[in-house]
Amino acid sequence: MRKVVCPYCFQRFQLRDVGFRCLAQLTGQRTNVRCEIGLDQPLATYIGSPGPANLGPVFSADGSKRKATCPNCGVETYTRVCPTCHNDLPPDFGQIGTRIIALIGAKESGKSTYITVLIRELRHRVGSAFGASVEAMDDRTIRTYKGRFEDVLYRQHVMLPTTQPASVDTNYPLLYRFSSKHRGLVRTHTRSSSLVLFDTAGEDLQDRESIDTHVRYLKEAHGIVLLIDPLQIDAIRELVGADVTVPLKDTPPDEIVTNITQLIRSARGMKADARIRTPIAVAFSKIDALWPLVPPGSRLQQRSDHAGAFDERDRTELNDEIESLLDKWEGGLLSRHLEQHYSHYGFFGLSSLGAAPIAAAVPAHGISPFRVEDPVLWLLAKTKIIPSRRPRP
Amino acid sequence: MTIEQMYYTSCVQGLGSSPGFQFNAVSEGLDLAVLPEVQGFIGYEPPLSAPAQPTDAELERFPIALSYATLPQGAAILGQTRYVGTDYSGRYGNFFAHVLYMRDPSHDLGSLYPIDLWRSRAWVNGEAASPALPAIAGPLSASSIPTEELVAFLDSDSRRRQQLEAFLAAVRENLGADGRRQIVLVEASSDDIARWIAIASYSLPPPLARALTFTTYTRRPYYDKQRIVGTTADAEFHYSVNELNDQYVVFDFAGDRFSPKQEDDWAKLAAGLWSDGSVELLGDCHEFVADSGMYLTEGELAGVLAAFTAAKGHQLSERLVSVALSWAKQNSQFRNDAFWYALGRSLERSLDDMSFELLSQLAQEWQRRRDQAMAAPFVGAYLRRAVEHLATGGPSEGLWAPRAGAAQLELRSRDVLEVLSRPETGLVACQRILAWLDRCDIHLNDETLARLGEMRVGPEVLAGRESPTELVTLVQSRSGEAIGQGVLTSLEAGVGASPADFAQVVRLTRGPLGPWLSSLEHGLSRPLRLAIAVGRPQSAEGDRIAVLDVLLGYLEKKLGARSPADSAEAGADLRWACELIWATSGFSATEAIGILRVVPDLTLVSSGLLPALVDIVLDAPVITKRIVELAERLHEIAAQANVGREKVAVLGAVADFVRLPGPGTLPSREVLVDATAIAEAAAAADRPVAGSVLQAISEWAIGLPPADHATALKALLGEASGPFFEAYRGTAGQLPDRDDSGWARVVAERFCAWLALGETNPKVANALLRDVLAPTLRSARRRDRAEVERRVMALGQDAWSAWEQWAGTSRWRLR
Repeated sequence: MRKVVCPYCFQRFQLRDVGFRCLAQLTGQRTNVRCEIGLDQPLATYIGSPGPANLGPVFSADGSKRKATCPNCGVETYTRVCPTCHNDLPPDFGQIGTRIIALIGAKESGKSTYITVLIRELRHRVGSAFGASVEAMDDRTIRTYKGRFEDVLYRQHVMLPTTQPASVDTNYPLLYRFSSKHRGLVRTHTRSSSLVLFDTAGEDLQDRESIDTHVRYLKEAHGIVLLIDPLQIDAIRELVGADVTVPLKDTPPDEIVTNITQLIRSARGMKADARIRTPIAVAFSKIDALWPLVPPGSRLQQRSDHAGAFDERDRTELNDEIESLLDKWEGGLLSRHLEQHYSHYGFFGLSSLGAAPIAAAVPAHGISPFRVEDPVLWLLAKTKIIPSRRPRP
Repeated sequence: MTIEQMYYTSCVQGLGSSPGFQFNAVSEGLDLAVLPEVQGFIGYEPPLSAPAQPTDAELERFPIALSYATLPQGAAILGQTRYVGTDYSGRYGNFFAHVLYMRDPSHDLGSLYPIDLWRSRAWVNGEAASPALPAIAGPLSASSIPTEELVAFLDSDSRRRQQLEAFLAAVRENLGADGRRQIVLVEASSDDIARWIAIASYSLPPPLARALTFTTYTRRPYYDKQRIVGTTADAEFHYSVNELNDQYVVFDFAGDRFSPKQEDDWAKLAAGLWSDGSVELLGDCHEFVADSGMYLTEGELAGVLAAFTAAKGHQLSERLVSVALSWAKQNSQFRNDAFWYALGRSLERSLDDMSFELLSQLAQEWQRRRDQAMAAPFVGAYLRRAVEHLATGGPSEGLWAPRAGAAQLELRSRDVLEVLSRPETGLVACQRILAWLDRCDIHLNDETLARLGEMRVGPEVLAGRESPTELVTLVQSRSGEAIGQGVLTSLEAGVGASPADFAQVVRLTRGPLGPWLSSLEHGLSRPLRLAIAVGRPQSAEGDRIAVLDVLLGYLEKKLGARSPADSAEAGADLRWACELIWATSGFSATEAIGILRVVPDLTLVSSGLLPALVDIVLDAPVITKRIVELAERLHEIAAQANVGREKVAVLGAVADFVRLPGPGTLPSREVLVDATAIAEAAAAADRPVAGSVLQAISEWAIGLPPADHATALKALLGEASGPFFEAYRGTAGQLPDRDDSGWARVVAERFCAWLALGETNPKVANALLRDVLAPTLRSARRRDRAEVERRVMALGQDAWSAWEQWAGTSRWRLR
């Protein structure tokens, strides 16, 4: 039986172990019993509050089926829940593949802004280029994305507020279904996968007490996007000059990567010489700040074009160029670490806004995303969700 | 005990390793292990509708989150979180939380309620210069939110008044149900939320208020674990039906959405105090509780508040007084005589309006407390009401039975008798009242009870308005014995009153009263003994006659005295007895014979009774032998007594009996046989009646159509012997006059009947044809004979053929 991962608590379990929740709304005709609403302790523990966990009882049945009959009241239910955290699972959970894309990064690396822009780009421009659709898989994702991200950035045109650490604020992952058409020899078919994106706070990777969920998130991830603020690299801070407002000095990128590697290794119980097979996309955000520093014609100044398939040649050239620049700026520490610990890694450069914000507001010309989709598309191509164009030999 | 402080914000320097959200400073000595737990209560997200980049003036208007939470090991935190806009990097989304950590909240808060620190000047809103903060020496000091302000707040919106009770009910429910259904308050400002929380807190005794966790503001109520969660109209909350009904208790004053109200005694009472200007009673009550050293659970709130306010003379609903008493009974260790005295004196004023249940509780409580002075009015009133309660059908199960003692004086016999004598007080109720009085050791005197039995119970049973079964139950109780005596007196009177009453008494003896009366039989009066005898079922017929024998033996003895006075009395008694028996249940045929057998002289039997006895005998099925016995007995009596009048009457009755059905109706063979058997028996005994009976039968048979005539004759002649034949032949020979137009028809019909009789009785038929028909035909004129033949021909081909044969072969040669 296939194992699956809960998109909320990231616990792995057999599909048949998926639980069902009686909605406690109807009285069973056969039993003349109506289930009572009570406190679902596992869910209350997950949420950190009893209120939303006042629900009908969870019962065991064959989780590989889409419905089950409550053994108490005899009423059918289609609501499936994670056997560990008791969160409601998306309707097609287990029916389509799940790709957990872990988005991590240091404080102020622009994760929230990136996720806001990325989803919008995937849904509109990139989706159109791939003939793909990206749809939210639950109401919570729709509400959260709209209320906390999209409205602020695209309607109020102001920068997103600082993401609060998970220890002070409960955070649910965003769940999307990525469906794309694939042309086979005989017919065209649709390939779907769910994408789990989790907006973490930078502090969450510093506070070991609060990273339990994040460790599982990283452990179960099918791909990792690590956002790094290039302005945390000392050499760049010096090179950009006074025109660019540099952030407060924080943990250097190589230390961040080292910490994350340690987290993944310990979570997976890996041997010291084994390499992590999960592909990691190390993406330098706010790359627009570096444009003056790179030579004309640099891939870092050119938009990518992945129409129909991921452009592997472009990625390879970009990766090589960034590796070369890193070698110059920080002595290749990052490259060497990744080479040593990861089977698949790639460097990316992106800018969520296309320019630096001004006084905590989006740039005057609006939001002009630059290469934001590259890391995620690379990870999707790696797992064969989307096709890729191979570089010519 | 000291109170430790914590500052939390997004800052460059703090307890964390790098800039960002972290504890900016904490008190020295604070156990850092509590920090992760504290973080769960201090997050802040600005309202969705708030400006994204507010000015300082706008920041002032952002809701303030005053949060109070309890932690494991009895600790608690109280903190204020305010939105401060930007952080060190200029990014918005920063807040500042100042948190107090209290290891022993009851000490550290002192007399304060957590909500008293709303907008306290003690709260800090800026980063500390040093990561080490001083600890604060407890207890804290602050000023409460003035009650007048809270009352004005409630008055400012009628919906607040309307929802107050429901809100307090939700608070109590939440305190009792491990906070499962959180309370979501939606108001325009966090100040209003704080006022609601103050109202809830001030309504609770401090120990319970310290369990009432809250936050005055959160944007997402789903993720806060406090019992009361305040929020704004633009909160991320869906107000779904499930949320309103099952998951939360919602009071949305901004959107006018409220969860269904739960009934709660404490909430009703406390809300009433907030509404009627008696709110200071809440505080007084809490002081009283504290002074008494009580630790209340939320389940006891209603009881203690009700008891306290009642003792203060506050008018309470009956339900609340009952709640107060229930609480008092469960807290027997609580001895505060002054309190009880005040409560008692307060409640004593409304004894008359008090429900029986409540009165019972009060009376028991004071008697339990052995306070006779307080107990007397309550127990006395209780006794009276208990009797009324039982009289009106109230259940006696579980009804408290005080060992009344002095209070017995409060319950006068005539009061009870008055209740018992009411027609609407059924026997069941009477029985329950007496049994309950027994349990109370209260006894009514026997004379009173006997009077009750005679004047009320007996007549009711006789009149059929009360069930005899219940009477039996009643008389078998301790007090019921005396009532039973009264009932017997009543029944005796009924026996002599009228045949109808006697009949009712007899019916009663046949029913459930039988065993009881039988058990008393030797002590019963003669009329009642007779009634019992009469009432015995038919299966015990012999017994009944035996009783009659006893009675008649007694009469005989009297008659034996031969004194004229005794004889007259005995005769009167016998007549009376027989008439009553007759009127009550009648006799069986055997009894009738039995009576007639033992009656020494028919003069002792009234003229009306004798024919009735005869009728009984004659009406009985299969009575031949008995009729004969009767006839013999009557004949004997008649001969012996030489009273022709009765004899004639008996014989007339027998004749009436054999008066057979009219022409055209053929009786059953049994009837015919009976009739002839009676007649022949009478004839054999040379009874004068025989002739007339046989004559009547003969006439009847002759009057039948030819076929039926033959059938009747076949039956009668098959069984009967000579006397009937003789009688018949005599009757049949009496033909109409030859000149009569009916002569030819009668001759033709008899011919046919006798012809048919010849199939079974050829000799008899031939004799009849020969001796009766042939002579008359022979002497008839030719045309008369022709008329006969024409009539025979009209009766059918078979009849004509038989006629031709008979006439042709007859030696009289009719042709």
